Amino acid sequence: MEATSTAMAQPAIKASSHSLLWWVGTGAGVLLGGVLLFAVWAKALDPAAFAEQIHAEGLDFALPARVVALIALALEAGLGFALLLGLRRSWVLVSTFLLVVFFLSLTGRAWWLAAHGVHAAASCGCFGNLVQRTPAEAFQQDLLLLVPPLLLAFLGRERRTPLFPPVRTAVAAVGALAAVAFAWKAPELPLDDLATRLRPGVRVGEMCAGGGTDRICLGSLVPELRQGRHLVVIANLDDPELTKSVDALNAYAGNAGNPTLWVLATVTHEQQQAFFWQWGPVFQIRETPAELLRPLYRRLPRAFTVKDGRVTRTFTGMPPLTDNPNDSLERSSI
Amino acid sequence: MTCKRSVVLIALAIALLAVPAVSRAQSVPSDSVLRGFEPSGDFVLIVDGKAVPKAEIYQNDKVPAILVLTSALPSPVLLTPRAGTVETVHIMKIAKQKDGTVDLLADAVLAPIGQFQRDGENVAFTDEGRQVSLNPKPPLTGLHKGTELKEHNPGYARSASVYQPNGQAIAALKKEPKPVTVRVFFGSWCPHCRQHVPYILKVEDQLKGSQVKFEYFGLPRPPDAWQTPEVKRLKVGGVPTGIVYVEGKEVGRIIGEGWDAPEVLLNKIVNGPAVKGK
Repeated sequence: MEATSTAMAQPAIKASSHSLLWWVGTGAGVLLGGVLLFAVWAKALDPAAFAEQIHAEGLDFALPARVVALIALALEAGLGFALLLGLRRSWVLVSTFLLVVFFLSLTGRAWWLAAHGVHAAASCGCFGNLVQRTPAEAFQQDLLLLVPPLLLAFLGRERRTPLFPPVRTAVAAVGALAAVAFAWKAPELPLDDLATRLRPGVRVGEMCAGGGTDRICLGSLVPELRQGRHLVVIANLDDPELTKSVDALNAYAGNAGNPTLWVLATVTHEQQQAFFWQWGPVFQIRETPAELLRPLYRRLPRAFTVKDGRVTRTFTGMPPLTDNPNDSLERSSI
Repeated sequence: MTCKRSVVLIALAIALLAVPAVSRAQSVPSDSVLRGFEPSGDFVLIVDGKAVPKAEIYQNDKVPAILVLTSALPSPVLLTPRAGTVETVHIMKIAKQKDGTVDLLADAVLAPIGQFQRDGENVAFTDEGRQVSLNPKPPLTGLHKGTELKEHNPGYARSASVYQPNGQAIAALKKEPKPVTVRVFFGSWCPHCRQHVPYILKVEDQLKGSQVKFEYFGLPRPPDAWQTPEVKRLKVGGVPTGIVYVEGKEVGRIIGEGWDAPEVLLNKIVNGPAVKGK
């Protein structure tokens, strides 16, 4: 009994004997692991948006963007879990180093392109290129968030065997697979409010895109939303889900007692005119920059109700137009 | 007697012949929704290959429908999107309202003359042998005066007429001793400009005779808009953007939510934040 308790106490004595550098290195590794896992969580909630990013960067030259996205998530999650579990073997740190270099090369390239007047995409509407963070800010933030903990994670490493500690390696592998499984299933899960900036309680003035003088918010694009009751549908004008609902939307918009109906879409003036002649909408369509709309949905269409400038309810897909919208607003707990 | 009988028979024959024509025509519903057509600056009318700049084009978003009034066509024409119908209506059944809108009288009869053909954002139809098309109006580009904007899009004038600027801000701006120039970058194709530029047109009207002058720089449709040298030089990120110059030097910009009451932001830029917003 006594021997057992002595044996139990041994690891504690050993742990306390770690050098300061070991603690700094382990702490930095855990921090870096946490940062990577948070990034995985954010991306896995909306893998389609991540795949769009991969496509925009031209990283889907060998495999479809969605597959590349899943592989990247698995890698990032595996390394994140490994670091979080204090696994600072060379294969973990070198792989993480390469991943960080890759991230920085992407943001650095975007910075260089912006600095030389080359934009990845030209806006088609009333707005130029709106960005949440400038490319310089993105690069600097990634640099500050990733590089110091990565470098510190190399400190105080103890040369231990085995190279792949079975339990922690298995947990990291299972974590990577879980991240892939989650990203695979996430689009079907009712996580829109969690995954996007559009959720009950948010004010229309808080849904913005761009920075500095280019900052534009939904509250100024559709100032009418700041007062009264509204039903807003975010959609692509050529989406069959929208076009087959035009009659119902027209009927809804034609009822004076209903909240005002708006459709927000990233469209050109030409597309809007073509839609007008083909479908004859009686509801208002507002051109909204993609940079503002994209963070508000995982897939289109998506709808929400607004009361006096505050989002009261969200809907995945088209809203239930047969419902009494007054009831919908009353049911909201906001 | 024979003459009288002949007259009756002729009248009866005319009445019988008229029945099919009347049944083809459609009366405007008594709860008429064909009211409140607003002037539209979105389209240009082309008749037999020639533009008709004087044509008055109105849009009703509630139906929706487009009404074209022009001497280049025999009668006013009503186009109904989606249904694709083209109908004529007697000119006497159209009532222009004081606020610039147009109504179809309740007893107006719509006579179908065919269908329009869609070609992207253009529509075309035939009216008594004339080839008619309604195309999007080319954007107003380059430097212009406020009056030219109102001429280009009558909707701007109408929206300007109903806007009520902040009286305090206007009074303060009227007293401004230094020369102030506001250069407004806009796109006649941009819906946000259609909404907000009329506000500053009204502000300009109210500041006539003061030291505050306005000029309007129209951009082509994107993506060309963002390649305009003036846009690149002044780093204009979107439209509308109002650049405020005092004695030739840029002192601020009217952007974003500032367009809700541009005179308030303009006064804040020129005189400091003394006047409270609306």
